Amino acid sequence: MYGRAVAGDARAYAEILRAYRPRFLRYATRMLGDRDAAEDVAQEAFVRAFRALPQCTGPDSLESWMFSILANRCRTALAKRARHELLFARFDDQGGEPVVDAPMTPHTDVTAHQVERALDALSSEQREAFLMRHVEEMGYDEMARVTGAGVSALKMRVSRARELMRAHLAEDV
Amino acid sequence: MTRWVAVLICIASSLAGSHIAIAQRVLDVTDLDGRVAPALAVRIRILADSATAVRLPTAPLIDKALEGASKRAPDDRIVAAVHSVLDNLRVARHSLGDTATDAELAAGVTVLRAGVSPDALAEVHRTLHRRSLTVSLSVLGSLVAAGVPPSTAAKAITVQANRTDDAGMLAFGRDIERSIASGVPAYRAVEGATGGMPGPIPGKPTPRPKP
Amino acid sequence: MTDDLEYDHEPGIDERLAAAVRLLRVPVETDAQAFDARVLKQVQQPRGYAIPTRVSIVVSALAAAILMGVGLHNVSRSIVPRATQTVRFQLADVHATSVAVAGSFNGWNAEATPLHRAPNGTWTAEVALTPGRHVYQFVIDRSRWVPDPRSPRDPGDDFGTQNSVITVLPHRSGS
Repeated sequence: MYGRAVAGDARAYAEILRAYRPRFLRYATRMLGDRDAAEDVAQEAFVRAFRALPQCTGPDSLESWMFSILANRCRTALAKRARHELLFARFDDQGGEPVVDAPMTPHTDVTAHQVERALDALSSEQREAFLMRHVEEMGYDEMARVTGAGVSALKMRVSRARELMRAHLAEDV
Repeated sequence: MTRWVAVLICIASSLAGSHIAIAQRVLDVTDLDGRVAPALAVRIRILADSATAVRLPTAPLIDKALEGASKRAPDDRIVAAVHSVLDNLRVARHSLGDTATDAELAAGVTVLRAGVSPDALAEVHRTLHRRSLTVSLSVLGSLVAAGVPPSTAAKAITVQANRTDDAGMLAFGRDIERSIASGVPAYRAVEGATGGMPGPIPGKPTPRPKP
Repeated sequence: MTDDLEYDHEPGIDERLAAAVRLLRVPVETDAQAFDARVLKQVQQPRGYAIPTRVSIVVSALAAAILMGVGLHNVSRSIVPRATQTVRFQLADVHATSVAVAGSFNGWNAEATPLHRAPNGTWTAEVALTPGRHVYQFVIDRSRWVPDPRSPRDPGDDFGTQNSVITVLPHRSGS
């Protein structure tokens, strides 16, 4: 399948697209806080990846390589937008419809709204590191390859992100 | 009479039911069908393609994916685990050489992921020469799981491999695990089982010089 | 300080952070078909360096043939029979309503190898295993995965619990 996709077979790439789309859309949505913008960015990333497939070193690095393209697109999109636009990005924008209809967890009363506000408190670098580490469950070595940052810097960003998230979630208690 | 016949039938049925012959065969990507979600299957297949391209076995990758799916692990975690297996298969191939069997490579992956260094794995391979590597590596992995530091476990296996056969190696591992389970420190359990190993043993307290 | 959140074990504020992460992990709903169609429409547009269709067909066919050859090689390896040894799996659990064993020898299928309960609450199954290393766990009441208290452990812990290990020797070596 990989070989066919590299050769330009769109049908083979369609299978790859279907496999990676859920994770890529989730990441882009959490980074940008805007589902429409996330779809645009993810779409662009998939198109770019297809066109650059011959540059990928092999099938075992495909997902990570494509994810790095997505992460770059997200960073570019964020850089273009003013910080204050993000503060009002909602899980439930677009007419109040929830992007995620997630149940509240037992024994805690964390809501999507609280999570979005806590995430908004992070810098884009902290948010990126936090999402990669804890939502995407990536290892630090992979995160370093994807972001170009050093492992130590990434660990500090994750640690700081956790502190800020905890603090904001606690404020709402 | 009818009652005794019924009893005999029950006994025969339970005996028949309790003996299960497993038609074991080497796993391949088709085993993912119906067991994991299609999107996850594609992600695993891509990794399996990568293994195939460099003549590494795909069965350990499929096995790990099926394990994760059965245990209802999140897809991303399954992919990460399969990726780790693939990465370590490459390292195991490098440490064990081109003639390593699929079973030896799989056993090598286990000990690498447990923290045994590639060099230590290569050393175990060199020491055992043509002898069964799979059993020794299996015992090595279990020793690490029991709490023996990876380098100590590798050293112990290397020492013991020259003294015993496969059955003896399994018994060696069991003895150490039982000692540790009963509260004996790992280094002492290893020392006791090997009759002393040359060189420093990680974890063993260094004797203080007398005043 | 541990880097990873121990979601089920840390009390207090980390429970909230763990809950937040769970919310963030929920997939985002979208019109998948429309999304994919938009991407594929763009990738199918002519590019400056697009491989000519005839060449791409040849390349695809060649790749498929190669992969099929590899696949056939694997199939031929998979049907070589090997001598087996019968192994007894046993677990004492008077409260369980069902116990099965799942592992590398049955594709981790929790339905494939049930154990049978004796009146004293001991569950047993005898399984023919090929020589080699096998990892497994017991599955109690179709949902609870537990290692075998009588067997060595596998050092790995990818999915939350350690597996047990059984090493089967060939007949000539004994066990």
